[in-house]
Amino acid sequence: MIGLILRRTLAAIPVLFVVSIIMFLLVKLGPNPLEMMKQQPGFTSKDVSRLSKLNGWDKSLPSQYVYWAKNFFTGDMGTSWVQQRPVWSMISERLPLTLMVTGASMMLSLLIALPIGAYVAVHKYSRADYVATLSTFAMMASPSFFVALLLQLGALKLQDMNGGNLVFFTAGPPACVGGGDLLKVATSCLTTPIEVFRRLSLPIFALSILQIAGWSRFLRSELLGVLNADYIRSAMAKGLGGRVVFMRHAMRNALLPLVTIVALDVAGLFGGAVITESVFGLPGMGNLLLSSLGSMDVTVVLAIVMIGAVLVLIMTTVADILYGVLDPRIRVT
Amino acid sequence: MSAASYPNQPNALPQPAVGAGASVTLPGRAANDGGAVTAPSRTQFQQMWDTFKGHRAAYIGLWVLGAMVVGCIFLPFVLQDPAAPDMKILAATPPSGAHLLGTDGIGRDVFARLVNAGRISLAIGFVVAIGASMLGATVGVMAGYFGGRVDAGLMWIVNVLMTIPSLPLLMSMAVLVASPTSAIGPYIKAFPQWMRIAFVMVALGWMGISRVVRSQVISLREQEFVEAARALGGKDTRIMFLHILPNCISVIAVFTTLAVSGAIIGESALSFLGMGVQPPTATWGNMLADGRDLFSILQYWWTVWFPALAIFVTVLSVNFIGDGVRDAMDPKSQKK
Repeated sequence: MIGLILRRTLAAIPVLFVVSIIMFLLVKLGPNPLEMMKQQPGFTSKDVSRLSKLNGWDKSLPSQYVYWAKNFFTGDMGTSWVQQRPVWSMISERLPLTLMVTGASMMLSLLIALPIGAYVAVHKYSRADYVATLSTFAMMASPSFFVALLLQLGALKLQDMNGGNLVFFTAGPPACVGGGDLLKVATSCLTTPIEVFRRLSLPIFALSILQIAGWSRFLRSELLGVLNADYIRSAMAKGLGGRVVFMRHAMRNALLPLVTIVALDVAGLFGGAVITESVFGLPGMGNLLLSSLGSMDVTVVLAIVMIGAVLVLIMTTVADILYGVLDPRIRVT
Repeated sequence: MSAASYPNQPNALPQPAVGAGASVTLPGRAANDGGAVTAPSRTQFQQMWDTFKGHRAAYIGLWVLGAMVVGCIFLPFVLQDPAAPDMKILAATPPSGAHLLGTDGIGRDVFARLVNAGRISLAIGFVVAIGASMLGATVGVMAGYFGGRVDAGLMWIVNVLMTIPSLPLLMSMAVLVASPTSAIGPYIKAFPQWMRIAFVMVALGWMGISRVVRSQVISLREQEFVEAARALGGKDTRIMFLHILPNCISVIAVFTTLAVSGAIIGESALSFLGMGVQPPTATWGNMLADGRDLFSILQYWWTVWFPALAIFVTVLSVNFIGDGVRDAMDPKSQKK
C-alpha cells in the first residue's frame, strides 16, 4: 500500500504541472484585468504601468508561469493582486468551511443513497421502486441552484409555521468557522453542534441531491446485475441466511464500481460547492473562486483549482486502496 | 425464442449494427434455424424499437421531447417578437389572455421568450451531445485500437482533464470565450455566444465516453471480424470507423442522450453564475437565473416557474429516453 501511495504521488507530479499550465493559460488568455481597470475613471496610464510592473505582468507569459510555479511548488502560493494579501491566508480561512460542507455532503449522500439503492434493488418493481426511480429522475432534472432556492423558501415557510422562529438559517456561515486553522475550527464547531446544524444543513442537503440520485440509481443497477449472478444462487443453495448473502456476497460486489464513481464525483462536489456557496452566502472556496474569476485574480484561481485537483488525486488513490480491501483479488499497482 | 436472438450460434456474424443493413442478414438466419421460428422475423432495429416502446416513460418522453423540439422550431415564426416589450404594460403581469404565460419585468411576453429560449437551449443540448460523443468516440476508438503509446498518451490526457474539478474549469473557459478582450476573442467573434458556450462544453465533455468506448474496443479488436476486415485489406481508419465503432453504438447512444440533459443543466448553472449565454439572448437557463432571488419566485412566479418547468420536463424526458435506449440496446432485456 505504501508502494502504491508512493507511485501515485510520483505520477501526480506531471499531472499537477499540466493542470497548472492549462489553468494558467486559461486565466491569462482571458480578459485582461488592466483593460478592465482602464475603464475606471481616475485611473491613469501611470497606474497601469505601475500595477503591471508590480505584478510582473510586463514579463512574457512563460517567465510569468515559471515564476509562479517556482513559488507554488516550493510552498508559496503567491499574492492576490486584488486583495494584496498572501493567497494562502485567504484560502486557509475559507478551506475549513468548504471541506466541512463537501465532506458532510459526501457522507450524507452515502448514508441516504446506499440504503435506498439497496432497498429498491431487492424490491424491484415494487411501489417503492417506482417512487424512488421517479424522484431520482426528478432530482437529476432540476437545476441545483433552483433547488437550493426552493429549499430556502421551504425554510422560510417552516419559520412561519414555527411562530416566526428560524429553524434552519438560509444564509451565512456558523460563527465557529471565522478563522484559524483546521483544527481550531473543528474543535470550536464541535462545541456548537446545534448552531452548525441549523446553519449548514440546508446547503449540505442542496449539495447532496445530485449525488443521492446518481449513486442510488447506480447501486440499484449494479445490485440488480449482481443478484442475478450464479454465485448468489449457490450461496443461497448452500443454506446461508439471506442477510449474509446480501451483505457479504451481493453488496460487496456491487459496491466495487460505486467506489470509483464516488471518488470521481468528489470533483463534481467541489465544483458544485461554487453554486451552493453562492446561493447560501457562505464564504467558502467556491465563492472565492467566483469572485477571483471575475477579477482575473490568477494566483487565487490557480491555487483553488490546484487544491481541487490534489483532492481528486487523493480520492482516486483512496478508491484504489478501498478496491483492494473490498476485493482481495485485486492488487492495484 | 424469436428469430434473431441466438448469440451462441457457432458461425454467427458479429452483432450487426443498427440501421438498414441489419435487416438483410436476419431473414436468412431465421431459415437456418430449422423451422423453430413461429413469429415473423423482425430486424434488430424493430426489436429495439419494440423494447423502447415497452418502456412507457421513455416512449412518452420521446413524444414530449419531439413536441418541444417542433414547437421551439416553428412557434417563433407565429409568435410576437420576444425582445419587444409590450408598450401598454412595461411591467411584470401574471398570465392572461393577451400574454399566455404573463410578461416579465419589462413587459416582454414570457411565452415568446420561452419558445425562443428553447431554440438556444435545445441547440446547445444537441450540439454538445453530438459533438462530445463524436470527439469522445474518436479518441476512445483510437486509444483502444492502436493501444500502446497512443493509448497511454490519450488516456493520460483524459486523466489530466478529469483531475481538474469540472465546474471551475468550465467557468474559466466560459469567461475566456465570452470576453471580447481575451487573447482568443478576435478569432471567435464570428460565432454567436451560445455556440461558443457549446464548444466549451464539447471540449470538456468527451472524456467519459472515450473511456467507455476504449474499453469496448479493446475487446472488439481481437474478434474475428476485425481480422477478416484486415485480411481483406481494410485500412486502419476503415476498420476503426466502419467495423469497430458501429459495435459500440449502444454505449454511445446512451451517452449521447444523457449528454443532452447534462448540457442543458450545465448551461443553466453557468447562467446562474453569470457566465452563460448573456441577455438579451434568452435561454431557459438565463431566464431561470433572472429570478434567482426569493422575492421573484414568490412575487413573479410565472417568470421563474415556466423556464424551470421547461428545463425540468426536457431533462426528464431526455433522461427517460436515455433509460429506454439503454434497455433497448441491451440484448438481455429485449422482448421476445
